[in-house]
Amino acid sequence: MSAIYVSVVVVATAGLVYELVAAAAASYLLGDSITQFSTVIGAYLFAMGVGSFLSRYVRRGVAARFVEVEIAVGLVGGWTTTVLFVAFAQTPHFRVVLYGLVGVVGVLVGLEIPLLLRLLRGRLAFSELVAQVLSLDYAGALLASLLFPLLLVPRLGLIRTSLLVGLANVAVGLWSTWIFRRELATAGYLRGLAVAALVCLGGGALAAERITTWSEERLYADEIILARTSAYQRIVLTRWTDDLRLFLNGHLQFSSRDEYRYHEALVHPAVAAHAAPRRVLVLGGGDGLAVREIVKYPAVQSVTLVDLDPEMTRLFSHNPVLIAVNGGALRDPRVRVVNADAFVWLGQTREAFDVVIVDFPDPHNFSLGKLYSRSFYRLLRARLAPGGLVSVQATSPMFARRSFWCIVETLRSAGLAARPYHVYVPSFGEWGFVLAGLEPPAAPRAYPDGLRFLTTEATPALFVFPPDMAAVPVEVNRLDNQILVQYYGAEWQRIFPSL
Amino acid sequence: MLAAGGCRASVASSLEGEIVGAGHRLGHLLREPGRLPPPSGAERVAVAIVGGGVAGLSAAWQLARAGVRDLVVLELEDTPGGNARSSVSAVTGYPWGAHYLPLPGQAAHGVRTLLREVGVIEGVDRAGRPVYDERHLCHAPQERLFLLGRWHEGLFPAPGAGAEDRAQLERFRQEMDGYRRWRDGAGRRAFAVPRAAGAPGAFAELDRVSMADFLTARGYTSPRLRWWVEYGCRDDFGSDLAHTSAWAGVHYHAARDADPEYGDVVLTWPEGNGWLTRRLAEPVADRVRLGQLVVNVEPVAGGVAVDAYDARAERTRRIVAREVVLACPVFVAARLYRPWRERPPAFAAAFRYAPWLVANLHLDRAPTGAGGAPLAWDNVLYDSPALGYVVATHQSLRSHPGPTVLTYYRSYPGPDPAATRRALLDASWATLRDGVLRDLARPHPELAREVRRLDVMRYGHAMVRPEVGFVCGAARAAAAAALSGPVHLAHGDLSGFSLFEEAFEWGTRTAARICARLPRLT
Repeated sequence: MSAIYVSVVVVATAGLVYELVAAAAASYLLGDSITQFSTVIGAYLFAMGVGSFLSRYVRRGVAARFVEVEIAVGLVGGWTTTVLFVAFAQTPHFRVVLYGLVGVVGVLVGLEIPLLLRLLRGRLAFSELVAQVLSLDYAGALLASLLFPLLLVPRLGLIRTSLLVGLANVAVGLWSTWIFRRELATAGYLRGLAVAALVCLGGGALAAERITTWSEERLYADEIILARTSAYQRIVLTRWTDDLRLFLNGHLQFSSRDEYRYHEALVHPAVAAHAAPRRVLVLGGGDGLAVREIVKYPAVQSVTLVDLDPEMTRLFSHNPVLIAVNGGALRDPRVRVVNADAFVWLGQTREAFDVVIVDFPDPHNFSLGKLYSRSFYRLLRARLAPGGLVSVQATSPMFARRSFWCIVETLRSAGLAARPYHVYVPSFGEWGFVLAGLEPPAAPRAYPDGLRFLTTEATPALFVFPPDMAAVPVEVNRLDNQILVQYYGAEWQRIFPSL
Repeated sequence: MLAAGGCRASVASSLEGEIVGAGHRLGHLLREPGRLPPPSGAERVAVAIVGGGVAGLSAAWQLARAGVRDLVVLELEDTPGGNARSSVSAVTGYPWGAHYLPLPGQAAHGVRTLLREVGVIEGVDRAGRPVYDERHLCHAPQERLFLLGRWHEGLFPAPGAGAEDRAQLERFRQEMDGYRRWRDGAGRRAFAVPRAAGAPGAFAELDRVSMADFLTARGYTSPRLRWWVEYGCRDDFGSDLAHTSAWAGVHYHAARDADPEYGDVVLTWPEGNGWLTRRLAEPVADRVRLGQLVVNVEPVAGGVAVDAYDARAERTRRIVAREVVLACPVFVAARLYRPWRERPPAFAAAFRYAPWLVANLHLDRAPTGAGGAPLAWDNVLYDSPALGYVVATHQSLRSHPGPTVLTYYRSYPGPDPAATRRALLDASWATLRDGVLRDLARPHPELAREVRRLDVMRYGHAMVRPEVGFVCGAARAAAAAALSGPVHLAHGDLSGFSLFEEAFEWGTRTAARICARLPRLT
């Protein structure tokens, strides 16, 4: 009889851990933990009720059904977290997957106790049976609620926790084939099933090191809600309360709290200064945030976004959290996404553009430095329609002053009239941009409604550089000297010596 | 040697590769001409060029520019280019030999004209200096050196150098500057590229000592400085300090000025100088015949007969040309030009050649391993008998590095090139592969597992060695003056060292001479 009591505790503990794991993963990925915990717990308990109700339809072979339920709950519950993490990155329907899984696991867990009670009916008096089983069930819940935050998550992480608990569930199923051997006609078949499930879950637990991102969790201050290694880069998305941050290869790309300052400043001075910005090209910027600003102009007829990484543009076209950030801009019918290397694409295209927005990562290395070279800007100039304008993100004139002015001078050396400006972005610091054109760019006429930062009145002040950011003598960045990468490395090294 | 990796067991089982270039096997048939079928036919052309290397293609290019279309270029290998041959794979073009060209100085106007025509030079600035298309200039970072377990920027072994090393380097540079600035009464340099533009006989006494003795006599004892100077000799001449004439050694350092705009950057392409030879061959593409072993050149009634064995057709065909350019190494010319075959000229023995090995390694991504300076175009190993490797995708404009090809070079300097040549030509692919991987295992311990494909090319006679007494000696002068038409000798050998500019100069100059001899053709 004590073997059965142990099983009850294990089953009860596992049942609550599945619920906690789903709720924790949901708040980890979607934020707003109050909502996630409430809805997941509610849905889970309701599904358990459905399971209990359904148990009445199990008429014969109760022991075999109990073992099957244990194996099923172990498999589905065990893989829940992994599936949730993968689904978050892969599908736009994360919540469907979340509540679907919570429902299935809840129904299966709801079946467990009624079936167990029926199996033990003959062995104990009814009042004692109910008292024993239910008290152990609630004790298991206490055990789960203590183990989960104190031991399981800190030591194993979410993915391995749920796989381990799944293993325990299946183990109970396997054990039951001996405990209830007299009630079972097909013990051999059930044992084979259980062993297969154990192998499946055990393999997952061993490979969890790869699935989980916990080595990276130490690198970032906030919780990682998405981490992908694409063919080109490591994409990491973190969240802390309402602040969503995107990192590419460990470099911060935006913080959802203040990115509007950056993207309004990057896009509007160029687009609003153009008399008829019909065809717009965006180089880099696969997050779609620059595109979000561009599609605010009714005059814009087409936006071509060229970003190397299809994973980036796919994520920012489909992931619900990321669509919330860019307003679904990449699905605007005027937008065409091209996944290609910007330098190579620019050399091959025959199209002409009225406005080009250049939003590449900072020149950390020689590969990126090419995208800031005179050769690159010459190619870019050749693609400008008459009156065409360019806007270039140009790192910080405060922290990387020579780098910033090197970009300005390189644009000028390519035959473009360049007007540098700067804005303050709290998560980045003082940030620089260059507005350039075949002819000296005019002042922006009128901005679209609803901007949170830029106004036409305040714009002229952005073009004024105080003495600590003023122009310094620099060389032109060419492919054969890549002087910008040297400036950049030296300047950021001074500020962050550990880099 | 610290060789640890690279042993057979650690090589990826999927590693494929082969020995490429059948030229030397076919070339050895020259030693047994009796085994070849007798010549048949008598095709008539105005000009036959024997050899499709830089000299031969330059001659053809120049003749085509002058309007001479009735010409044929006979090349032994399956691809033209000679020492500037190249291949192309799904990943990139990559070189099998020479892979860069220094910015040509004012004296090299022929090369400047070529570069202008093919778009490498875009125009001239206000001061009249050439403006280059940046894409052809070697991108940064250009060079790095593996020393003391790490990669360091630049080629001079500066890490661990003492004050004495640095002082000697500085003194050496100043001394070379002196040679560089020297001019004769007519304003000519002592050391010029092409050589023919220099003052004849200037500093000829340097040819009587080796570069090793030159350095020792002047107190250049720093092992680091001597390594650096020797590296230049091994790289450009295929010879070590002891077997390089000091005149050639000084020429290496004193013949070129840094460009005021671009510094001492070089021009390079994924396929190396194969890019240039392809441009040279373009105007005569339909006139280049490959796989042709020329076995005999002899004056006959009405012209000069050129007998070429076509290995694929297994036939020897005779071409009768009005003018013939022997655009092949002097040791080859001596075997196929009948008068020389019958009475070997005295100068022939003075031309001695360095064997080379070139390997091309296909990788899915840039090699991993030792830290320090990032992957550069030219990656040199300090403690290595080889010259290191260049990266074929270095000039790619892609911002994300993908699969690549590394071209590994090794010259075989030393006292007995003939013995090394035999050993090299006898070695199997597996032996050569293991040697390459063992050498590269020090900076890249994982390389043997990362390589997808490794092909090797063996050059028995890659380039003439500028040995003591040869560079300014009588034999070289005699060879250069030996033929004056209708058979001509045109090859970089005649300059005493193997440089693109020299071969180009001999080829184009010979073409001009032919045009003068055949005025009605042009």
